[in-house]
Amino acid sequence: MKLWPVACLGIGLFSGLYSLASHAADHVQTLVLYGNVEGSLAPCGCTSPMSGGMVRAATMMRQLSASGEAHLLVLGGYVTGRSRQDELKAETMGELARSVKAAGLELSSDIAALGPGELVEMDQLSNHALFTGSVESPSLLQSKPIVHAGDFLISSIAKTPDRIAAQVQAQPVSQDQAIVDLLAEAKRDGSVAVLVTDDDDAGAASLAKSFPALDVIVYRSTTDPPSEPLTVGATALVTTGFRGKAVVSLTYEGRQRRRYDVFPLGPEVANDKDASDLYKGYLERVGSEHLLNEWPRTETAAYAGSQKCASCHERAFNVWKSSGHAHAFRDLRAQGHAQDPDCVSCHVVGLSSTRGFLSATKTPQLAAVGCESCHGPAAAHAVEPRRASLKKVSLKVCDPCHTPDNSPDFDVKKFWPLIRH
Amino acid sequence: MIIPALILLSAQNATVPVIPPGLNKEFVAVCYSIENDLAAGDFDGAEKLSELLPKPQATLRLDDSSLAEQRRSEFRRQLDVVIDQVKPVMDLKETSGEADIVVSFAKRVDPDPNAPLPKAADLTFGSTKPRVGMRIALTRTGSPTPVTENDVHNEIAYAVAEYLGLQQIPRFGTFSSRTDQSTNMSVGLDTEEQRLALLALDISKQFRQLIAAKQKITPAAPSLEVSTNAISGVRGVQDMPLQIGLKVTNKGNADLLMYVLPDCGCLRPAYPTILKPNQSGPIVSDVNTALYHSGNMEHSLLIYSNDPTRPMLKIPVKMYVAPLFRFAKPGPPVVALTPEGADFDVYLAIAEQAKVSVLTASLTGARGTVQTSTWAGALPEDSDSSEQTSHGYKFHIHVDPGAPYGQSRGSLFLGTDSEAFRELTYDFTLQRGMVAEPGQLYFGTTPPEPRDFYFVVSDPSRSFKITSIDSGSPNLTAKAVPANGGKEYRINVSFDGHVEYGAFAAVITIHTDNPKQPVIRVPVSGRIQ
Repeated sequence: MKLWPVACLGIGLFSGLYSLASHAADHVQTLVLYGNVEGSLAPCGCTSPMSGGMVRAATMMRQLSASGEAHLLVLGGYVTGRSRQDELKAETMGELARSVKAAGLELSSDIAALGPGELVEMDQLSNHALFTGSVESPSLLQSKPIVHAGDFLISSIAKTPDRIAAQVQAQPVSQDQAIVDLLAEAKRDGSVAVLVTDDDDAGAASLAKSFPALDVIVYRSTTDPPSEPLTVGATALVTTGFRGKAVVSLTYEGRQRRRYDVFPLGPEVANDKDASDLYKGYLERVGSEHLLNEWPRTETAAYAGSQKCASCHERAFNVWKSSGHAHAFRDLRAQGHAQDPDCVSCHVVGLSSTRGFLSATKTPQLAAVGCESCHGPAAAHAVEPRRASLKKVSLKVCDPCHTPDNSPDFDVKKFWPLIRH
Repeated sequence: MIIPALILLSAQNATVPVIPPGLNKEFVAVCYSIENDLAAGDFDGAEKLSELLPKPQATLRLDDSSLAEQRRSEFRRQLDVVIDQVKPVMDLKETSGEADIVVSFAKRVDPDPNAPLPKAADLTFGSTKPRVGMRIALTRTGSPTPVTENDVHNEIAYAVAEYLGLQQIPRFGTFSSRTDQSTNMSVGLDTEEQRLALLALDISKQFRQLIAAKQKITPAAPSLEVSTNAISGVRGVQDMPLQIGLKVTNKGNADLLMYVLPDCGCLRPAYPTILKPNQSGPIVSDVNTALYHSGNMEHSLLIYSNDPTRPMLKIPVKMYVAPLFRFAKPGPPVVALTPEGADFDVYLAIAEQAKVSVLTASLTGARGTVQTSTWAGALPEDSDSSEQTSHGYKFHIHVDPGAPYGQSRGSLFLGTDSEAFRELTYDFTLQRGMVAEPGQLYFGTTPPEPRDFYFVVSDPSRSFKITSIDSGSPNLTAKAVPANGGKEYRINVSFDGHVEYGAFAAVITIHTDNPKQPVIRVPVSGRIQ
């Protein structure tokens, strides 16, 4: 019995020393960021080499998790509109967050705009990973104002918190208050304070000047993440870039930033199996809900189909026939995107017209990028060429489809000669 | 005295090989060292250095002694593939002895514990044979994944490219690129790489001839000077012409060869490919502003040249592209439908400098009318920034009554005279009576295990009662919990997980005391795997 006090003292001493040792040797932790996909869940694959996509991001996030202690965040800028397809995309991002065991899924303005129902869906699909500092705890959701992930404390603010609040029937929290709350908690815990904002680099820099105790501010950008993070004082300003083309990681030892890495999601990054299944499920839902049929259409003149042009414009027709445009829809089908409204509009004639492409079986003559994709509806011109002449088009007509994202190597000066007619 | 002087003059004027941009720094460094030795008359030193230059007949040794037999044959096949691929430029032979390139394997190659991803291979340049050594890790990434045939193929190809003097390029897909990822892609030798490799071999041959002839030379030293090291403060508007530019000058004593690559398809540079000593020229790039995004853009122009001091110069470009248009709708996000229908306004603000006209305006997904008028004023979302005036169009939308109960969608569809933005769409949500949110419950891809979900049924205008719920499936149970004074119910759904793999679908039917909306149906779906 007399040994108890000694044993207790020994245990106490051991605990104290252990605690000291743990503080002395700060462990290395990595914060992994992926976001601002802007509806681009995967590169459509119609040209090469395209980059980005959730199936590659998942590979990278899992690899970083396997390489050490990592905490993953999936961040906002998920969608650009409020269509049913946007809802399906948002839900898929929620599923991705669950699949990669993300510590947080940002409740951003763009998904708030989809309505409370979608937020409920994303909250559940992500295993309640939603977080935002922009509203007081909403009764509808189990979202958190601050995410605790290892040594990181993470919160997010929106430029217009009242819009999020209106959707979730909760009180908005001002940006300043949300940051003060985050910093107070970070100071108490000795944690790395990470703020996510939907503002741009200038907005982030301004926040860093006002709140220099913030360790990291993650901002939105319309360009690729820089090779080095911007800094304002001791605050690192980082971005995941645009359209989910990169995964970004920040490695800390205690509160000291040790590394910053950008991992571009090029074609060399293998597809993650689970995320591929999720993406496949998304495409199946897009197909089964016949979203292509809900594409907004307007009245236009009638289309003729490229074959009709051949009788008078034989040379131009032959140039077209041997070009990639002639089998653009076939290529899209081979990629599994033939039912995806995001892709189909650039691979057929007149998807936005009540008299344009409906399906490959109903309107086979329009199932390609045809003459009328650039020159406009030409049924009347085919009947009376002189009376219904077509207006001249400039090379700018290429731009809506040949964007840098869809056609990374597109150079109109090089490509126009291939279809000159 | 005259004859020796003429000999000396002709020796000094011997043609110095021109080193084009696109070759790696190791190759360029050897070339310039040889030039210096030739200029100093140190022909022995130059000859020794020339051993480091690539030859059209080279050897490669695959040191696979540490591998299991099966892996050896897999990887050897990949070596054969590379040997075949590189045939257009060189005759590469496998050897078991001394070789120009040696590829070996190791358990791990990266000792840095702080690196987020371990390096999958390391490459070294030797001052004697082997000129290039490549060590490939047997596992890749932190997961870790065993190295694949593709990975080995790509690393061998990269080692060959480096031997040939090709500069590494950032985008993966060809011989002179590499990745630490485990990839299912096999690289190829593209035509530009073939051209550069042949040039590197030809330069090597010219140097060997100069050395053999013991010819003294004057070292060639083109020098790239740029008018600015960064372009910033450029502002434009989406879909309107925008150009950026800078001036380049050759301050050296030999021809400056160059090409310019952008890091983004949004830049389309035009540039001089050759500048004589003291000659200047412009690099001008159109900016494709007809993108689907706008705002701050940060990109770069990469100037590749034969300037020995900086074979690649990066010019950062910072631009701001103002959006061509934006929509705004004052009021709540969801439009409430009354017995008279609904009336609301949508604004389209168009950038001041832009000349875009709306030609047609119509509704899709909802029946009603659109009245279009031109407009100038402050948008509700700009109320913080005082006195900001926008101009564009105001669309007064009237939606007819008679839309189905619940939530539905509509779109304002505009046709414009812009070639890049011929169609603009603004989506809106209509609500009539009680709604379930979400309107369809999707529980995702899930294993066959029990899971709980919920959705909410509400009618902000009145209280109501849920009289019964039919879960629509023996695998689902649903219970209603009232909230918000009877104007809202949370429907808790339990899924028992006792189902077959594949798609799961059911419809939950909620019966209410509202005679106008006695039934609300909520489809439930998921994928079991």
